[in-house]
Amino acid sequence: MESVLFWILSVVAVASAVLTVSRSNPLASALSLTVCLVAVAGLFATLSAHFLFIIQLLVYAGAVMVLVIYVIMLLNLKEREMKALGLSGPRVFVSSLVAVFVVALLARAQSGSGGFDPVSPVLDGSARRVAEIIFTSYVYPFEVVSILLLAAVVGVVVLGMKKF
Amino acid sequence: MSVETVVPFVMVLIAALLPLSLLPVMIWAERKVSAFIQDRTGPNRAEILGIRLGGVIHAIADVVKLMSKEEMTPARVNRFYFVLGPFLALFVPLVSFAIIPLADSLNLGGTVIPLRAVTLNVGILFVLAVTSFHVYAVVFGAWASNNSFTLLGGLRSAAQMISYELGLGLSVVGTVMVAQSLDLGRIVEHQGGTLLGFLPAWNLFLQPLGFLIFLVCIFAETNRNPFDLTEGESEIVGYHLEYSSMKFAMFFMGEYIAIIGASAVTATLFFGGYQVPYLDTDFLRAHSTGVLRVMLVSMGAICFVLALLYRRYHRRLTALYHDRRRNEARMLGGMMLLMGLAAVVALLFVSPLPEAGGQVVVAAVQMTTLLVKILVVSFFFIWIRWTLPRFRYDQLMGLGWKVLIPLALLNIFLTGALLVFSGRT
Repeated sequence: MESVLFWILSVVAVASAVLTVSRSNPLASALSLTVCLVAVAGLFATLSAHFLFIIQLLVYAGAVMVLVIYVIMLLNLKEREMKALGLSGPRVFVSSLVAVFVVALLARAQSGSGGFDPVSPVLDGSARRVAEIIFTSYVYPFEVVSILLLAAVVGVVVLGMKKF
Repeated sequence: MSVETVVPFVMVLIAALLPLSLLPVMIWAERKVSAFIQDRTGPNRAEILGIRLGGVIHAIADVVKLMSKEEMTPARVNRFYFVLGPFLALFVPLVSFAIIPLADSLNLGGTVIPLRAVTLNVGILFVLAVTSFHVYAVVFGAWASNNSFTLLGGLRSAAQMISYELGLGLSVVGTVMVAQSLDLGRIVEHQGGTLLGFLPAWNLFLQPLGFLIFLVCIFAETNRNPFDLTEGESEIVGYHLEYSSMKFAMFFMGEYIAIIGASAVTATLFFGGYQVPYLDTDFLRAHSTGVLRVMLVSMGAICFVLALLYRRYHRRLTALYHDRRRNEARMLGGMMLLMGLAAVVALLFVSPLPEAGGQVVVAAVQMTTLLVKILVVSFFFIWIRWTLPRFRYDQLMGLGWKVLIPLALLNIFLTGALLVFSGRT
């Protein structure tokens, strides 16, 4: 069951990721990226990381992508401008090079840790476990991220003011 | 096929069919309640063989009308996105029902079977995730219509939904802190029993401020009055201007399914979910045969009273009319009489139930309780719509950002302080 789900979700994720970069309509790209994020969230769920699954849906697919689509709609791109956003020779070349490099990297990392198994053992992915890890082992990185977010919030407020 | 494999499929089916079957009831209730509040009669003309069911048949007439209307598609629209909007509007709210625990888990000889379609230990976040996906329906519908007015309407609605999602998310944190779990099953279990000896231990009483914020936010999130700027046809144009026929109907149905889903979530979070007030699951299970008897007696009594009322109605109709309008009272009265008799006969044959049978009976009672709570909250949604005027857009945003979010943060702080001082952490 899990391995069937894994293959379905992986195919969807990869296909939508390809569509994200190959579509010339930015809205189609954004929608493909949303599908990709949902598929990856599904992969988290099959790994029984329920908290990560929901946060991926809630934050990335539900909030960040909505904002992206919102901005794309406000830009009101014309057909002619969209054409320039599509795939072109140099872009395909550079991105495939990067893709090959990443796949090679992952394959090398994988070879050290035994074979490839789509169905991993059941982990404890509950909110309690995640909170324990974040607030003990990774409390300093967590605080650094908080300061970064605070700075971003302050920046937004300053930019949003009518007069500087 | 064992019980453990069958029950999840049945629960998924119930989770999908329950909101869909409540849909005509909601549309009927909306019209009848609005008529009552505005001192009108409301719809009562559509009939099949003289049966009008007080206007319920109008739902069928509406569907026939919407399906046979001309379907207009604006020029130069992208068909895919144009269809995606209404599809998402209908589909996304349906999903939220999957997470609601419909009754306490069955416990058959050691195997625990949860009575809900999806069991996630982060259930409450699932609800929030589903609401955040509802924005896509609005945004795609608005953009794909290829019309500046719908685009503006869609951006307005999307901004409203995104803003109130924050308040919604923060208002349920207090509930999570009280129950010490994100799991909806745990949150409902926590609301069994009583508070101070006489109040049911519902989160409504434990989290009054949180409940108020949640209620306001869920109204804004489902685009209901007083926050229904999306469909303020008289003042500003909404996002579904260009949709006609069944595509418009899908937006319309999606709105009602969202209300039913929101009512279910409200009932689960703040009104004790499936918990029968004062009677917890263990008590009900210990007295399952008695529960079954009480159920049959009350069902029989209701049926007989209704049969009597229909008899009187029939007499009145007979005196007034000489056509098929008399059929309704006759047929429904007869049906009620038969159901009442069936209840009496069943009552005579009730024998002490086996353990599993008793649990199923208790689950049925708890599902009925949840249904009643959902209908009461849904009624509240309708009541508000026909009572309050609409907010202006700047008032709406001001309320969301400057009032509700700070209040929700205050609620979290107060809940935390109370939990610390009462030594329950």
